[in-house]
Amino acid sequence: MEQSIIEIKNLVKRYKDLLALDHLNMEVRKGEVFGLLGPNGSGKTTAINCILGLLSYDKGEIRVFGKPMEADSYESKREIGVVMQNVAVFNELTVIENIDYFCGLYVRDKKERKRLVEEAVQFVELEEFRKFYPPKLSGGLLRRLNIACGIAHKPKLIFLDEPTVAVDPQSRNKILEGILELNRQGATVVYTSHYMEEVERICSRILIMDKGRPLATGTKEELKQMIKMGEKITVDVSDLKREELQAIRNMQHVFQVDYTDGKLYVQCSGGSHNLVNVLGYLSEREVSFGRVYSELPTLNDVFLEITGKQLRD
Amino acid sequence: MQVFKCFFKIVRSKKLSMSIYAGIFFALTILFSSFGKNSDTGFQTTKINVGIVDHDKSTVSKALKTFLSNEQNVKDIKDEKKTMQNELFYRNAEYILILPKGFGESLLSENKKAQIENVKVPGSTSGYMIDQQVNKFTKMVRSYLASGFSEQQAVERAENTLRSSAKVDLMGSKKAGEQSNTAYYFQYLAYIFIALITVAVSPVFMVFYKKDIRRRNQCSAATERSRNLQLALGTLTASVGCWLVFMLLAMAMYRNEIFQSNLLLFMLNSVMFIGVSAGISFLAGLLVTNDDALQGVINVVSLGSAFLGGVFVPLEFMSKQVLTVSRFLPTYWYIRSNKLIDQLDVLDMSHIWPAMQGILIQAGFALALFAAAMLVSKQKRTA
Repeated sequence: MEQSIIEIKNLVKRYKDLLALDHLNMEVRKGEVFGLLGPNGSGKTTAINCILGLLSYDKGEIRVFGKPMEADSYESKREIGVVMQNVAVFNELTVIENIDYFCGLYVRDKKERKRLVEEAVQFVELEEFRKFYPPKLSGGLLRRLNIACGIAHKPKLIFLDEPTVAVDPQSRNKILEGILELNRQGATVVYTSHYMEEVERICSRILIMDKGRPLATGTKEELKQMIKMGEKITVDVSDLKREELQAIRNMQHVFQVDYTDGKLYVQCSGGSHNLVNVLGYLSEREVSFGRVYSELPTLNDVFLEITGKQLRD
Repeated sequence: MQVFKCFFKIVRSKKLSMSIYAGIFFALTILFSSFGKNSDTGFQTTKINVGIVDHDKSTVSKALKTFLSNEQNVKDIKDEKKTMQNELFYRNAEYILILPKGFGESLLSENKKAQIENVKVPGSTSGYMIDQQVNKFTKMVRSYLASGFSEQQAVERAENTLRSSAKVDLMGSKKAGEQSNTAYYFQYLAYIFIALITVAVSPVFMVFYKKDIRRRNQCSAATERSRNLQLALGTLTASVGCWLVFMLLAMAMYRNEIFQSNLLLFMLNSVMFIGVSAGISFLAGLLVTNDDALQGVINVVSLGSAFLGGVFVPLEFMSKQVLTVSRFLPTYWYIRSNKLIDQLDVLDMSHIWPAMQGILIQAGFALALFAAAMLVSKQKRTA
């Protein structure tokens, strides 16, 4: 069995009347990129803060590297890298000084630190901006600096809390590539986001949460298999009669059909020829149709089916 | 020592503001010490022009003339109304003494009042002084005559007695209200210490206690104790460094007069005040959350306490009500002690104690400020 890096059992956290974490159970295994997916306010950051010992909690147990995690678990903290949701750097220090500062909180040896700082600068591709002060950097570069500060000391476990918020697509791509590279180098990554595409792209296992509760855990394939929908077909149809709509509804594997604004939406639970069957029927009935799309379910569909609402609500 | 190093990198980023405040300080010190200091270093008697019209020509009248000649510029003038008016108008004489015939006789007779007339510039203080001298001479002669001396003997003895002077050794070398350059320098330190330390140190605490940076530091491998100790060490180093720089500058600027017996007391008073300034800057750094607001706080606190505490306006000029408020400011106690130390000539405990009281009260203020700041910092850490 793969070694557990983080184990959380029945974690409960309250902010007065608000239940921020409701009996959260979670396990992160060594070497994986674990995604915490949920809409804003779902409790992702609260969970991370509890794991890092930044927040006290009301009930439950947190173990990191097999040891209970407390505010003063400095030995465990030495192996942890943190990239906060908000950029946490000193505006009065240059790029290189910032990375050196945060790396120095973990690594005392000056020579070793110099090497690590240099590697971090290269990793986030900020070589040209070494002497720049943060206020002079763009949003994307700032995020990269934030990451460099969190990972310079080569931690075994890295927390990345929504590191791509308000970042341009180019920088976002670089950041995601970087995270995968860190994982390839041996780091276990806990990644929180409300961007399902990012989570789907980089995470090996995902925990979907909402209102502080864990809804489902597994690989993206496992999660998609949990829901009824296996394929979603969209067809531009100018006119469709009621009996034709009913006929499609009666097809094998079809469990939901909608027709609005000249678009036919067909959701199928499985099967391999759903698209051919639908198009065949339309041709047979001489119904003219335009563009055709067929999509596999996304994590958003998973979230929608579990909670009844969109991930970005 | 990452936090300690970072502390001074943040301080370094405030060097422009710091040099502006230092510049203001030196301008103020030089300006006020040159205005405030009296250049008189000694005392010299002046002689008044006195005209005498002697109708009596007696032994006593001649003796009085001789007595006045020793201390004033005395000359004979004619007994003419116009001449006397001209002499007074052109200030050739400020006082004209007229000794009528029978002046000596009137003095010898116990029952008669001495017959003397005078003409002087109206409202003249020097005329009043000559009146005093004449009065003193006539009383002295009468005293000797009453004691049984002859006219000649009474006159000679009166002259001798009045000529003798008492030797006076002044306990203090300073005149009332006068302040030394050193005292002026230390006085304005009350303004610059608060302004400079707050400009340098408050931003450090402001940055380190920002929610994101604080949390980022909290989840690092550096212990909270170590980080707090490094911040405390940074504050101490910055404060002591600032104090040392200003002490060295004082020694360079006033090397001729600063090395006096009470220099150590001036330094003790100022080192206590730098503790107060550090406390203020610590608290301000925790309470204020942005640079603009901090700039406002620095100006209000440094200038406000300087004005109310007696740095720019002497405490003697302040109303009772203002002084009542001032007593709640550490600057008041610093300035009070500074003035008391400046006036000290005898360094024993009974003389030093009033100044020491002010220094101890400042220590109390510093402790209270640090305690309040610790409380705020604890609340922020757990928030």
